[in-house]
Formats: sequence, C-alpha cells, structure tokens
Amino acid sequence: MRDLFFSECRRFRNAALMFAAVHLVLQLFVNRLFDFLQLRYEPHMIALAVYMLAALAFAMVQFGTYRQSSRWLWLLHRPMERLAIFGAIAAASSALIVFAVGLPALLTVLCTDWLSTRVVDARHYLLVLELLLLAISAWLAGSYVILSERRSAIVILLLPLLLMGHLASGYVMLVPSVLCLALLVWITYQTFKPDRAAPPSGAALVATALPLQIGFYFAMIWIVSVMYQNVQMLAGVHPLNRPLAPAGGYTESTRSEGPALFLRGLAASNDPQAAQWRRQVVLTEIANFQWSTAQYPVRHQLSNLASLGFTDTAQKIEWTFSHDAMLFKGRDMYTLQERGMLGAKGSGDSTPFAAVPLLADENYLMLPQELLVRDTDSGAMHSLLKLRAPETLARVPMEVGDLWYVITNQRLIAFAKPAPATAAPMLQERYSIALPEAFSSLDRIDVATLLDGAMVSFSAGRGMNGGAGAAHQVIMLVDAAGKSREVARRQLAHDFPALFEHHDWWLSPVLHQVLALPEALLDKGYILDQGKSRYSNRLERSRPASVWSAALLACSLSALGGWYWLRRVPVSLARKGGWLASCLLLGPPALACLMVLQARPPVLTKSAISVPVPAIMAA
Amino acid sequence: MTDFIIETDSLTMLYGRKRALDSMTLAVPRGGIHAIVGANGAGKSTLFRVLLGFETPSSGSAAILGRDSARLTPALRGRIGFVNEEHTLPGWMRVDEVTAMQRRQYSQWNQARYQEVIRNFNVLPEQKIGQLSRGERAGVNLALALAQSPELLVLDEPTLGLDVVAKRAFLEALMFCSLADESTIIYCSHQMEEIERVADNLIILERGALRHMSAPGDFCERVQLWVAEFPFREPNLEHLPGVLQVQRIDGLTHFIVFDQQDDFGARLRLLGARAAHAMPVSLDRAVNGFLASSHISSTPVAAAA
Repeated sequence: MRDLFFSECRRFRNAALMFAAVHLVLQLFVNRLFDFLQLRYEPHMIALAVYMLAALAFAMVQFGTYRQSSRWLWLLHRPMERLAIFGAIAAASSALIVFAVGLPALLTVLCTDWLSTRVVDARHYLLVLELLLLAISAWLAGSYVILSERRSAIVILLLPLLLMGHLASGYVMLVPSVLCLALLVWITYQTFKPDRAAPPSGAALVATALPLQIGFYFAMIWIVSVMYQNVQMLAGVHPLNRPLAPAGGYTESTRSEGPALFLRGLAASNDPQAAQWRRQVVLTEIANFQWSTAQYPVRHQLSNLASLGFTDTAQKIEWTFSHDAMLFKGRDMYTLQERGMLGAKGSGDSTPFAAVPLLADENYLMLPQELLVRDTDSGAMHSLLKLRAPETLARVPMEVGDLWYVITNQRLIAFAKPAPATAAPMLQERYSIALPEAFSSLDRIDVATLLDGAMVSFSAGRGMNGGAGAAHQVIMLVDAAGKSREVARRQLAHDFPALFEHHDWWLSPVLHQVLALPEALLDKGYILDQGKSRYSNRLERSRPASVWSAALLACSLSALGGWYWLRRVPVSLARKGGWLASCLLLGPPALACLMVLQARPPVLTKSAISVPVPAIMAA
Repeated sequence: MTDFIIETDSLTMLYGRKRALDSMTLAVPRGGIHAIVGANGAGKSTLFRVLLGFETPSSGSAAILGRDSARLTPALRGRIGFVNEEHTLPGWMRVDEVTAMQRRQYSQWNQARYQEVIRNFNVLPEQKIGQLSRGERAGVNLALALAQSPELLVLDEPTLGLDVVAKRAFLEALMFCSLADESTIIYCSHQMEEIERVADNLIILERGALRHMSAPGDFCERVQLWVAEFPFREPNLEHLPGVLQVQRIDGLTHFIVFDQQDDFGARLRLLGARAAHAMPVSLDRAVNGFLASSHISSTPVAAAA
C-alpha cells in the first residue's frame, strides 16, 4: 500500500506543486485586492465551484488513464486487497488535494489572521476544512463517474451540493460534510473493482442507488419544469411571460398598482361601506412594501448571507463583524491599523450583540428580536424596538404618513414617527395587526391612509407556484383608535395548474420529503411562521386530490415499468422485489436508477449470432 | 486440487449482439506451455479478462487455479502473472522503483531470474518507464512477470516489439521457467515460429469458440498440402472432404486439407487431376489454412453481415 501511495504521489507531484504555487499566489493577490473571507456567499460559491471542478478534473485525468482495460488490470491484478489499493490511491489523492488546495488556503487565512488587522474568525479556519472536504468529495464523485460504466452516474455530483450547500453553522455543517464524504468513499469503493460494469450488490447497491435516485429526481423535476414552461411560452400563455397576467391570480396581485389591488380586494367585500372605500382608494396615495429579509445570518456560518461590514466615512473606519467576538472590529481605512470595536451600545463598547446582525439601509441593524440604529455622528447604537421571542423582526421601519410600519413574523406594527430632535428613543406602538396569512406566504402589504384611519391590504401567495397552497388577499380596516377588522377577503387564483405547482412532490413524494429534511433540521436562520419551531414548510404542505392521484399513478407506472424491465434481467427474486418496492415507493427516479444499474442482456436473434464454425477437435 | 489450471464450461460473453465468447468449453491441464492462437476477434483477450475476473460472463462458468474467476483472492492473484501486449507499466515511475514495488508485493520474487532477463535489455535502473522504448518496456515487463515466479503465467502477445536477440533470450527464460518452476504458461501469439519452438500444446480459437487443441506436432501431422494439376477444366471441388483452403498457383491447384489420407489423392485423380502429390506443411501454413477456412473474410457477405 505504501508503494502505491508514493507512486501516486510521485505521479502528480509536479502538477500539485504547480497548482499549489499558482493557488497561493492567486489567494494572496485576491486578498490584496479585497477581503475575500468577508465576501457574500455568491462569490464564495463560485470559488468553491472552481475548486470542485479542479478536483473533478484531477479525478478525470487520474482515472481516465487507469480505466483503460490494460492499466486497470495492471493496477488491480496484484496480491493486494482491493481495499488497500483503493486506500492507497485515495490517500495519495487526498494528500495531494490537501497540499495543493488546503495548504495555500490555510496559509492565506493564517497570514490574514497574523499579519493583518482584518477580522478572521474560527469559522474561516472551518471554511478551509470545509473546502478540503468539498474538494475531496468532488474528487470522489469524479472518480465514481469516470470508473462507472454509466454516463448517467454524473448525477452523483449533486450529492455534495445537496449535503454541503447550506448556510448553517460551520460546526454543524461538519456533520453532513463528513456524512457526504463517507457515503462517497463507500460508493466509489464499490466501483473500484476488477469488473467495473458489474452492478453493485447488497448495501453497496443501496448506497449507490440512493444518490442516483436523488440525482434523477432533480433532473426530472428540472426537465418537467423547463419543458412545461417552454411550451407555455411558445403558446404565449405563460403567466409570467405575457403582458397581462391571468386575472385574479398571484402574478396579477404581485404586479398590481396599489389602487388596483385595493379595488380587486374590495370587490369581494360585503361591507356596506365598500363602495365608499373604492371611491377613496383611487384618490389616496398608497404605500406598498414587503419584508426586508426572510433569513438571518447564523453564528459561525461559513460564508456570509449578507455583507457584515460597513464604512464610517466620517471617522474613516472600516467596521467588520466578528462572529467570535460578536461585535464589530474597526480598522483605519488609510493606515489599516486597528481602530477599536463597536458593540451593542456603539463605538468603543464591547458588549456583544445578541445575534449576528443584518445590516440594513439608513444605519439600521436588524437582530431577530431587536432593531438598532447607529448614530453616525456619535457612533452610539440606539435600540428602537425589542420583541419577545419567538416573534421575529422581518423589516426595518417603513414610513407612511406620520407612522412607521414594521413587519414581524406575527404582526404588522405601526409606530408613531419619532420627532427629528429626539435622540432615537424606543418606538411607541400605535397599533398592530396580526398577519392574516403565514409570514412565509406574505408577498406584499399595501397601506392606504384614510381620513379616519387606514386600510391595509395583505397579499399572500409567495411560494404558491411551488405548491405552497391557497393564498388570499385580506383587507383590514384600522380605525382612528387603532382597532382593526377584516373588511374583505379574496382567494387568489392559481396561475399554474396544480400538477405543475406540485410537480416536485408527485414525481416522488418520498424523495421530496427526504430532501426537505435538511432545511428543517439545519438552522439556516429562516424567519419561522408563527407557532413553528423549525423551518418545516415544505414538509407540511397539503396536496390536492389530483396531485395525490398523479403521485399514485407515477409510482404505480414506475413499478410496472420496473417489472417490465426486470423480466429479462438475471437477478435474484429478492433483488427484483427490492427494486419493485423501491419503484413503488420512490416513483420514476427509482425506475430510472433501476434502468441504469441493472442493464438488460441483449435480445439474441438468429441473425445477431455470428456464423457458426465447424468443430474440428482432436480425438 | 483439480488437474486443470483453466476450466471453462459453456462460457459465453456478449457485447451487445456480438458473441465474443460462444459457449466455450475448455480445460487446460497443469504444466507446460500452452499456445493460444486465433484470428483477430477470436476471443483470446476476452477469455483472459473473464478468467482474471475483469469481465463477468453472460453465461457459463470460468475457473482458474481451481477457483471461480469472479472470486479470485489477492493470494491467488499473486500466483497468476499476466503480461499484455501493451506492456502497461506506470510511465511516471523509474525502473528500480517499479521493481522494488513488485518485489515487496510478490513473496515468490526471484531476483536472479529478474537480473537474468533484464540484462538482455539496455535498461538502466534509474530510467523512467515513460522514457523506455516499446521493446525495453516489454523487456522490463517480462522480467517482472518471470521474477514473480507465478504458478500460472498468461502472456498476451508478449514479444511484439522485441528484437531477435531479446526475443530469443526471453523465450529461453520462458522455457526455463516452465521447467524449473513447473509453471504453467499460457502463451498467446501470432508468431508461429515462436509457438513451434516453445509450445507443448496448441489451442485454436475461432469466433469465440474452441476449434482445436492438441500438441503442435500432432496438429501439423493432421494437416496436409496436396498439389494437383488439372489439365482441363477444373471440376467442382466444393464437395471434397476436409478441405480447409484451395489456392491456384501457376496452373496448379493447392489444397490444404485436414485429417485426410492417401485416398484424397485418389479422389483428386477421379476428378480429373493428371497428378496429385501430398506434402507436409509448417505450423504457420497449417494454422493459416485452418483459420482461413472459416475466417470472416472468406464468409459470404450476406452471412458475415
């Protein structure tokens, strides 16, 4: 094993040296240009994709040579256990990845930490570790794709993305990452055998089939969605792709001007004053706003949901939030020297923030249960609003008339607009309205200020096109005393047929639920609906009868297709039963997986058989 | 322990609609040098791949060293040497590094034999495999294979690219290995003079099926060349028994026949031959005639398609 390990290291020694050198130079260069560690997750994702592609290319070159039949035979036909051979090659490849990818990245983080005044937290060291795990996972996935005799095995690449592509805490993310790595090691090892074309068996078959089924599931929902929408666009009936949205639907609601939306809502009202309000709203200025965020940053998350820094141009200080210290650390814009810290009470204070803040416009800092505003002159931090958990802040104040409106996951709260001279005291609540629909469904809020109060329209429907279910527009009337009552409720029509809205469910209900689990299990900072303790929205959606029928039909047809496919496949009854059960349970993705993993022998006809030769044997 | 080092029973291997191995039943006894010959696509390489567990047969069974080919253990693999015509070795390693690696892995390593074979090639230990010529690489590969002292050594076109002297040295080493270690050697080649020189047993494969197995000398004795002169129009020769190949050269008709006695000459004379003479043939000519009788090139177009 040691020989093979060193042999493989020697094989890619020069390439690894060059890659590491270029990587290190690029890392240092990019970090000279900007603080790469503090960027948002989008550029981080691009960088990770590049690392993954590099690891993938490494596997393709490495096993592209080994997979040739004569070289494969040279590698595996020796007095060594298959596990030892695979272990030697995997260990050598991992060592090369650590050297070429991990080491330069670690050196860059260490240099930034020790030699600069930039903020470097424990999560950035975790990022290097996660980067390594991702690169090795990509290498394993690439090795599996190359060694597998099936081109469709490429869908395995979705596995690292599914398990590792979450903005949860870096410590928590180590669990799915290690799980992903272990699964990929097992799957790739099962392909690393003399007869690569032979289908895996037993636990290996399950371990190989599951990621393939998930991959096919994604491929199928994507194909169904793209094809259906393209047909709709070609026919000129796509709700989002035509000048006039379908009447009464979510698209029309979200695109409407304020007055038109009120008129549509009030048309459904039985209130005797409805006609009068209809006349008023067209003459009134209507404010329209949404939530500011549906997700908060999570402490120790590996990348940034939003920028965690701002510049105080008056003081010439760059402030960057530290997850470790839970406060901002400042450094001089010109001398790059440290300029103190900014805590929950302002500049120079070291009181940690209760949670990682979300920086909003106009010097607001949003915390799940607190709204802060920063005084740019004094550097002090003032608390404007405090909520009691689990109520969560979802929007910075929106000024409408002489009121400030704030959205939480439970209420729309109207505050008296503070006087300009006051030093940002706590906001004084005038009234609040409980959200008539779940926060996760809330799309927009429109406020019409009337002579004797206000009229507020709540429009839901966010997620409706993805199967979130029925949604309404609800209009509430608020009187001068701040009391509110519902005056109109209108159900929004579905822009797409139910089978399209729920296509990610009926194609495989079980896989849909399995894939919705990470969002429910991992804390990714989502603002939860009232009464929820975790983000389990996708798990709990109700499905119409037609969608249930489609799911049953898809599963039944898959099982039938599986039976037809297996008729000529020489496998045991137990395995046939297992395949049919998986088709029945998981639907079309399981059938596609079956067709890939259990190839059928060719049908031999007389014409297909070579011309027989006479047997002339020795006596 | 079974008497046969290789056993296949109705072994069939399909690639799509093509039968690479067609119900092949073969039993190769232990010991000696067994030459396998056949035209391109006869199934030789596929047979080796199935025997070493690198292909799963469509049907039938294959066993090597008495063990099912699909269940070869590392210990058994250590007793089977294999050399292919490409002489695949890691191009990034040095000769001494490859040698050291193989030496550590094979418990029966015979350093003296390695030195004996490698000295016929102008190869330096510090040379990289990737820098060697094809012949030099073949030399290193063969030296490695022989030094492993395998119980069974499978050689697939091993001497391609070797010069005359190196080839002779290798063949001598091969014969010595067979005698000294009582190894069994499966030797696959198109070079009939090599086979004639070293092989104890001749196995002829054709289109995935076993067509003949005997000692090369016995085979040659059963194949004859008949030369006949037909002064007038040549008769219909289709119904002559045992004819493998018919050629017309300088007005004479040459017949390669299998298992025919003197009465074949009488038949020719009855068909109008003025004269007919039998003569022995070389192994090369005999195998060529044998394979030509059903070679794909001699098959009617409709049947071959």
